[in-house]
Amino acid sequence: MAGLKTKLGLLQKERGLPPPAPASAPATNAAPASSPVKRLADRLRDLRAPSTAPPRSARAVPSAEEMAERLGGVAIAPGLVQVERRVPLDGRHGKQPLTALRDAVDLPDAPMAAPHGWLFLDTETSGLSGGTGTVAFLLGLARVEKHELVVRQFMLTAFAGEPALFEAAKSWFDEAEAFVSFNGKAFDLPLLATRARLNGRHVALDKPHLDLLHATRRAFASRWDDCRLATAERRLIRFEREHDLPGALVPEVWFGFVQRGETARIPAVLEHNHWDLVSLAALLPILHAVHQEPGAWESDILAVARSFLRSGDEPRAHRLLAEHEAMLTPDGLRELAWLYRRRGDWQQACALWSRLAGAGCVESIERLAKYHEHVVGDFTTALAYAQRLGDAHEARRARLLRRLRD
Amino acid sequence: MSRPAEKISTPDDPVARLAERLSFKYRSRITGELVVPPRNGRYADLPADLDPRLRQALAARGIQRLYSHQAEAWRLAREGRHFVVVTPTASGKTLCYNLPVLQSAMQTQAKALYLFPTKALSQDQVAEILELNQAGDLGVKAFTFDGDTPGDARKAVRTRGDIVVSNPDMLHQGILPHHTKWAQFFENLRFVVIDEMHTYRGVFGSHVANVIRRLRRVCRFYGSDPLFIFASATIANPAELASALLEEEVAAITESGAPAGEKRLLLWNPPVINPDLGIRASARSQTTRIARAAVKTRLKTILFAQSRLMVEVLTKYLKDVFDRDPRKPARVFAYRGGYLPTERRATEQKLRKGDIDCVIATSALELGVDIGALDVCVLNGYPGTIAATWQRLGRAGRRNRTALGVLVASSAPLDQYIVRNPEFFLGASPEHARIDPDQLLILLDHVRCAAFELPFNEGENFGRENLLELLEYLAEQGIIHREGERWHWTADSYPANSVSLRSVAEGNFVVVEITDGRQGIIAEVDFSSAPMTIYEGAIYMVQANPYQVEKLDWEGRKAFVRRTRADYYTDAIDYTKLKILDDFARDSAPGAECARGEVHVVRRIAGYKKIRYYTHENVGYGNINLPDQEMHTTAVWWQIQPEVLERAFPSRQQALDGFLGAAYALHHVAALRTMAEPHDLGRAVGDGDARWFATVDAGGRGQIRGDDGKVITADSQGRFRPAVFLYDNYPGGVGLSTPLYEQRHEVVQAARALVGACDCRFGCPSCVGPILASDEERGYSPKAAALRVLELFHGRAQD
Repeated sequence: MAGLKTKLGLLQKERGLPPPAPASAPATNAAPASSPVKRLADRLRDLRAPSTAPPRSARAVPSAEEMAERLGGVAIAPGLVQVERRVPLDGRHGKQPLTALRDAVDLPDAPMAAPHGWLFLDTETSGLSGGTGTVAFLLGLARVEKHELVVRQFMLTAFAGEPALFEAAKSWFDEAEAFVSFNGKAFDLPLLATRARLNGRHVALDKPHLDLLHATRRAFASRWDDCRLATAERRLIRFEREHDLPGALVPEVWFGFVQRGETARIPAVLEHNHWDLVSLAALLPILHAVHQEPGAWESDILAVARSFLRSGDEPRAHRLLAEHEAMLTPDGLRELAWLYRRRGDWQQACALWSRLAGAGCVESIERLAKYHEHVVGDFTTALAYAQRLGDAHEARRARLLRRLRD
Repeated sequence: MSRPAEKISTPDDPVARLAERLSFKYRSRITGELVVPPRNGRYADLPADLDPRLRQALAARGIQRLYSHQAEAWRLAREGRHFVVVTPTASGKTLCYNLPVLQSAMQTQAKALYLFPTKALSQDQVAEILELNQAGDLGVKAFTFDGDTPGDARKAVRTRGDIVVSNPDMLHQGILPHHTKWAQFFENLRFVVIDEMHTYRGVFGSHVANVIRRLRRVCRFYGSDPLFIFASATIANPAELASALLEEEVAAITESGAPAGEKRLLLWNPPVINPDLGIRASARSQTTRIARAAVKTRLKTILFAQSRLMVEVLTKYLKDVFDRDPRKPARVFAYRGGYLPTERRATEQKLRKGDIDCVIATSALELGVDIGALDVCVLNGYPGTIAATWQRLGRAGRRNRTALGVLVASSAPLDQYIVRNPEFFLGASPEHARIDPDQLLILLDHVRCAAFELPFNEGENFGRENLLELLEYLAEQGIIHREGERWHWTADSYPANSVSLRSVAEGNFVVVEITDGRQGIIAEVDFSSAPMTIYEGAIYMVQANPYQVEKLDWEGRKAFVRRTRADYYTDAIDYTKLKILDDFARDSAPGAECARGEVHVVRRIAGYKKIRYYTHENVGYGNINLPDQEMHTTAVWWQIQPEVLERAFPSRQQALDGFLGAAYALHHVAALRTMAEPHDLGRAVGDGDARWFATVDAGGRGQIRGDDGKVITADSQGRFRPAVFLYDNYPGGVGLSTPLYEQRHEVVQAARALVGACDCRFGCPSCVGPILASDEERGYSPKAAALRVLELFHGRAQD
């Protein structure tokens, strides 16, 4: 069958060159760049729509040492720069005092961890498509040490630095009790696991993980247009970034660096990642507060209460709803009435149902009918409620009429 | 599964009776007959080293011994040799791989990957393993993993599945690019089973060979080297194809030990209805006649048609006979690609339960989808290859009674050649399946995918071409980046998503019904057939219900259709122009020349015909406004020196008709010779510089169109140097032009023989293409003109 070899063979024959040697020794028979290789590229271009990427001339990629100097970090291995910055906890991030990071966290899905046991984690990657070909070229970690939030960033200046990256980050991963991320469960952690496996490195990634995207979505999905970290930063932390590099441009900056040695926008990527980590840290106590006092943060009280219910903390769910009764939607009131009913507090439950029934809530009318029929045995009142129900309740009405006659 | 051979055809065997009745009543139409006698089973004891639990599982299913080919498979697997099993439908082929795989899973926690070409086949397979598993309490876990596997179940499949059943597309797009998630699976992978191997030929097979290269590359990363077991329907070169797919030696098991009932095959040529023009009754009319006879005698019948359109037409005609009462459950069903999966599954199930009396299908039912046994199989037209013919005929056949197959020839040259030379077909071995894994574009696609999966290292091999050049090409595009000895992926993309294993262009079209304000998807159409089937105005049929396409959203890949009561169907008209870019080889005969090279092909779909049901008269035309389809590919072409041509023909018009007729004959002969399917080759007649190209007008005469598509006269051209082009109908070519060029003399000879030996007077669809009655008035015979052209190609300018 005719393939590249035949084609090249014929081309070379036309040019008076010997046919190519077997492909088993590709390094040794690379043809001069002026002849068939070029023709191959031309032929491929003919067969295929031209690539959008124009050929470009490359500058040498700066070494880890050069980049370390530029970024204010240390070259800790060939191809790997570490940048460390310390943020004092007695300061503020936006409107948020960071001291709150010293307090314990109480969220329905939060694993148990001491304040200094949290490892905040965020990566910058060559793309969002996932799969083995996506590389996390910047790994950002942060943790509380005494009176500071220590932010440590590991930046690849060459693919060859990747095994060293996992070695360098190992101690922090090992010492962490739990991870905190924003969408890290679905994205950052699987990506790190993939890259570690590809590089034959073992990293302790199998730990409790609090993904703040989930907590944010829970409390604010019904309130906000989107639940991105930038949105939470603006609305909860009230922090405004200046000259922030949009996340969508990050892959491009990395390709420009690794392929063409372009360094201009690299500091902006580190800056972006740094603020992501600090915001992540600031967001943790805020989401804690949101779950304590959802009303004060204009969050979705019912959704927050239900998350406690799902995690088995019914008293907390009950308390949240009861404390915010005045702010509840009909759905919230129904949930609260149901919780009263579950603990046998019929009086409170009926009070809520009556309120809802007055507003035409069919479910509550039915509950009242059942309550009066089965719990109180007051068939007259039960029938009065049943009369307000639709055709599907004919059997109930017939039964109540019969019981009233008997 | 193994059961003793039961008694075979008896005098009251209804299939045998039907066969005899047809042979007698229509003896003048039957040009050949073949009786394959019933075959007794050949058996072997259960292997001594078979695990007792497996032995018990087999016993529970009534299996006390193996067929000889199953025992042979066991031996090869235990010896650790790659092998391919080639045995007929229902011969217990799956046990050949299930036994060794299950035993290793139970004894050494070995993992296995099964690949089937379709999702439906995967589900059948898992059901079968689960049955065995239950019967012997084996504790082996088998799961399907495909596009339908829910997200939350995927992790369990990856970590707990002993046998994962998937398809090449899913391996390519869903598993290999995420191989680290499958690390544990790959580390313990000991078997890869590839069933329905015969489907992996041509373009699809070339892609799959590359997916196997990637799979083995990933396995090497995890330190495993699995054994490959292939299973295939009959082809001429199973061991060769398996070796080509695997790039290693593969042993072949080709002798089936399973018993089989008698099989009868009739070759059927429709009667001549106009001897002057050589026009025969349509294959369609004969096929419906045979199907009616079979269904009336309550025999389960399957019809195979060559196109989706013909499936719908045949279905309508048979439903008009058997499903006239809408209150009764339907007896006749259509089955083809493009129907929604749920609808196809429902039809399969009805077939298995015996609730369908007649099914009309395309090649979609050629594969091992379990539809139970049928009695009669009618092929409406020659499927194009001997292998596909036997594969389809194999759909009819039960162990204990006769099966009948009828091959009804159409007027196409290949069909006529086959029925007129029955000994050719009955004696021929099936075709060789060919693949070209190193086809430049296909290889490049998979080098990209492989580079995404694992960085390439200096000195690594992938395929038989110069990998370094391909990597440099990709690096130049910025897709990968060389750092020291390694090439890393540096693009924000997931390359497997833009590579389809099945076709060139991506993006299926969906057919959306908008009758009465509804918005529902009723079918899918693949990209390559969309221009010919869902243009605006087209009648598109689903289960013989006609819909009219109102709007085609080409960019959005949607066709909006509405129910219609039209009494016609539509057929698209296309033409092709072609420009020579480069020639690789040329060969001169006196006055003529044959060459092979690279060409640029533009195909335009210009309009469509409306054809009335039953009468098949042409009731109108419509225009189609669609983008041209363009490709670069390789071709073989024949030309005659202008002076020689001027001397040989009194007019350029005659010469042109001769070229068109010669092209028609050459195309069909070339398909047979290169063992390709006819649509794998395209044909065109034109000027090599694409200054003009030739089409056949409504009156059957050749005409010349200029670059803008307008008709011009042959005499207005300066030098008149027409060429017949046969091109590889795939961008970049899949290697068909080389064997064609090698056989250039034989192809011309055979085309001359086909035309010369045809019974018609002036030419007919069986030799040089359709000729209309008025041709007698042309004053010359298009058939003679075509013969003259073929002789000139052969170098007989001086005769």
